[in-house]
Amino acid sequence: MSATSALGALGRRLAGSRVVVVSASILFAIALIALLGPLVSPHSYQATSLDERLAAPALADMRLFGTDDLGRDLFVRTTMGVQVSLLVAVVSSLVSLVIGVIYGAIAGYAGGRTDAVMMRIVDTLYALPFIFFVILLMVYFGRNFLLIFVAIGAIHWLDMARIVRGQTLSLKEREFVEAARLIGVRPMTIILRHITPNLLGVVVVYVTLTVPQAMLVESFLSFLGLGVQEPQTSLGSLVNGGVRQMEQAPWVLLIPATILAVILLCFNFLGDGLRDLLDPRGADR
Amino acid sequence: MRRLEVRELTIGYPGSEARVVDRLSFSVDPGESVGLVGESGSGKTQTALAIMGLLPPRARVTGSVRFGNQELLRAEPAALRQIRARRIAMVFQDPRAALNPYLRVGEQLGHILKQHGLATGAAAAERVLHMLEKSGLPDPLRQARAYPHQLSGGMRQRAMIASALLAEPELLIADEPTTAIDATVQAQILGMLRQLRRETGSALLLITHDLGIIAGNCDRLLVVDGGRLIEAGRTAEVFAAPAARRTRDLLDAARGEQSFAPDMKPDERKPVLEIEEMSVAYSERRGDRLWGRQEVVAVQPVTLRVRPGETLAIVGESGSGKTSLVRAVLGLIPRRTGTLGFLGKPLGPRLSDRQRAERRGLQLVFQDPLGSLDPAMRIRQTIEEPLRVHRPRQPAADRARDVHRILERVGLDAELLERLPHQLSGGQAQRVAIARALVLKPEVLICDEAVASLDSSIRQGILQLLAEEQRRSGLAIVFISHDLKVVRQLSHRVLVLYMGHAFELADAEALFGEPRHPYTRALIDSTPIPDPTVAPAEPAVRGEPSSMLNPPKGCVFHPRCAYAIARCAEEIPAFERVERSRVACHRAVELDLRVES
Repeated sequence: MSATSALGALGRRLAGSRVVVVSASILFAIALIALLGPLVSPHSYQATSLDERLAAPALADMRLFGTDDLGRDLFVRTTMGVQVSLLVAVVSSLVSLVIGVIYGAIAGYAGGRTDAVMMRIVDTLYALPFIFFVILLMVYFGRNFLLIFVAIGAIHWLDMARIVRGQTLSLKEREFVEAARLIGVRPMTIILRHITPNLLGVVVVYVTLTVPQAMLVESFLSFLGLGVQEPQTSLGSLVNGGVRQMEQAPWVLLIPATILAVILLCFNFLGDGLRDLLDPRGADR
Repeated sequence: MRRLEVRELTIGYPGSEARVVDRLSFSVDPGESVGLVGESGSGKTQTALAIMGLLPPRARVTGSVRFGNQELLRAEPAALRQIRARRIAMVFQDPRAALNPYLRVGEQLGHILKQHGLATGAAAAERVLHMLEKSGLPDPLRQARAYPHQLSGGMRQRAMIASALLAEPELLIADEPTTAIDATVQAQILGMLRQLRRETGSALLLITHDLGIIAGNCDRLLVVDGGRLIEAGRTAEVFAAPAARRTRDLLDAARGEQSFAPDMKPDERKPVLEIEEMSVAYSERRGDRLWGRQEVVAVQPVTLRVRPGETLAIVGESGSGKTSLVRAVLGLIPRRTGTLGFLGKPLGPRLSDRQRAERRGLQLVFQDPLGSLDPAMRIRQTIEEPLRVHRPRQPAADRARDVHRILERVGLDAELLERLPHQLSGGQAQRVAIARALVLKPEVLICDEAVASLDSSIRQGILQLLAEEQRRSGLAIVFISHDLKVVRQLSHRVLVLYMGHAFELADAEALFGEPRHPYTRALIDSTPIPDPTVAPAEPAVRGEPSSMLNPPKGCVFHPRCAYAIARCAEEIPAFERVERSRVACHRAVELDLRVES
């Protein structure tokens, strides 16, 4: 079987899983609207309008989601919020994935003293108060969008490293790893060829859990004024802003909050579905 | 007393056309003992679960299971609870999974009596103790207060059987009750079960893959294959004249008469593997102190030579050190003392001390064929991997040719190459593992219980394959097994290990005909004989192996040995030559342990 037909087989299996297809489609649709929406809408994300403060959603004048307390168009602001939140979440999750998997797999496979030293480093980093760490970064480097990725990735890789290490510890005792050692496969090759592929199921599930977590952390940082800066926005800051108008204009809260919830749910379902699909034993189910 | 009547029982699962059990009909009369025999996947356990009403809700069940005049298949859960344990009880294969780890053994058993309103409080405790004592648990008072994990495997199974028979059920269903238990203990437990059944008069449905167990324990016998009943009859008659071809195959496999071991020339060829005074130890945390570890010697110093073209079997029960011994040879665990020579050159203690070329010559086949194959790698990649490592510059076409050649030799079809391990049967997976081990043309192949998890019919094929490879290439095989039947079929020489001590080393023929060590003889007697006309042997051994943490003084076997004298408790016997064997027993010369045939 060639590589293309192997990909085709995976594609067929993906298509066979309703959960994965539905949640991936919803995520894709949200991302697409978030990218194209601002191009279609006549409004800008920062233009305020005192006459139109807290306008209700309406089709007229393309005020699809209404406006916020400064009269800014909520549809355009929401699309921007989705863009920023997804970007922060996906990028920081990827950062944590790459660092965490490599670090954890090496620590777990090496074992003994190497493992002990590597994991104590992780424990030490864990003990650092995250917010102080972020504030220090901000003070030292100035406010920087990129730093949010770094900061969020920097905490999540610790969890990932611990999970991967634990899985590696049990995998390396498995007989197929011993068989590879007896053949004379190099340790690094064993980690890459035998350990990592068998970690995939767990890792994918964990990543789909860190994506929503990262989104929440980002909104928390933005709330403290350490994250995205006005007039730029993210889903988290939109929800925070909406809370203040909850009584006069509930849509200012409900629309971004609903979208945030839908995205988080989709990621969770996606994780569950992917875990089943990536388990090689699930191929015939 | 009621009769169990199964009629046209059919079990299927949604998403599959295949029937797990297909129109199965049989009955068990009061007090009768019936064996249900079949290989894995034949539907025997599903049948038992259907009788107990324990099938998962998605199972599609038709037909009828009547107990007396009550239909069990469509009974209400409340009615089934009245029947389970009280009228029909079940013993599962794995007693660890069947006992609740959070409850003391005595408490758990007491619950059964309480549930059925048979006894409570002190009366229940009294009855539980009595039952535990009858099931052969030493010191029942202490065992009743113990948690399941504090009992050994054999003790747990005794407790399990005691719990099943506690409410004096009319029918006992035992699903592979001794499969997970050491041979010398298995014979004791089967004897205990026979005894208890005589006292309570309950009927028995014994589910097993081992016809040897059926022969000594069952009046009638049912053979199932692919969910269908293919043969039924009185045990003696079926054994004497099996009608179905599958039954004949099963019987042949159980008798294990076919010998696969190629003839060996008596010439003393230069050994490929020399083990010199090697011992293996691991350190265990001390349970009684916060700090500090205790050294446990898994294998006492042993000297062995393996010659090209021979099969050396290493036999022992769990904890005997047989696996530790070969793992130290392979370098997977470090040795404590001694040296290793391979093809005349010394081998380092750890795998990382050994050159890649040195690793090539010693390969291993594991017990669990599926576990030894990377679940994420296709069969082609798995077999190619050794070639990629050892001949990185080999052209792709040559490599493909080598893969096909080895595949043909192990008797696999080329179309399996693109499959993943879970898509193979157990036998196919083990052939893949053998192909991976042999593709580098090793001098020594170590098989660690390599056929223990395979059905008897598939087992014969694998044994034949190993023997053929040996004949073809002069491969030396070190074959670890607890199963003397298999050892007899394949090996030229046998080493018997017990709690890390070498007890006996002899040619296979000498060892099986004229064992010199009482333990060897007990092992031989513990193997169930697939012949209903022969009464099951009562091996001259009692109890279970002592704890490795606190081994007995003197000969480690003396607390269980029927021939022990005062000296055995004092002095560790030396491993010395006695006629054709090497034996570690003070009484090796005087005892006559010959097996009359």
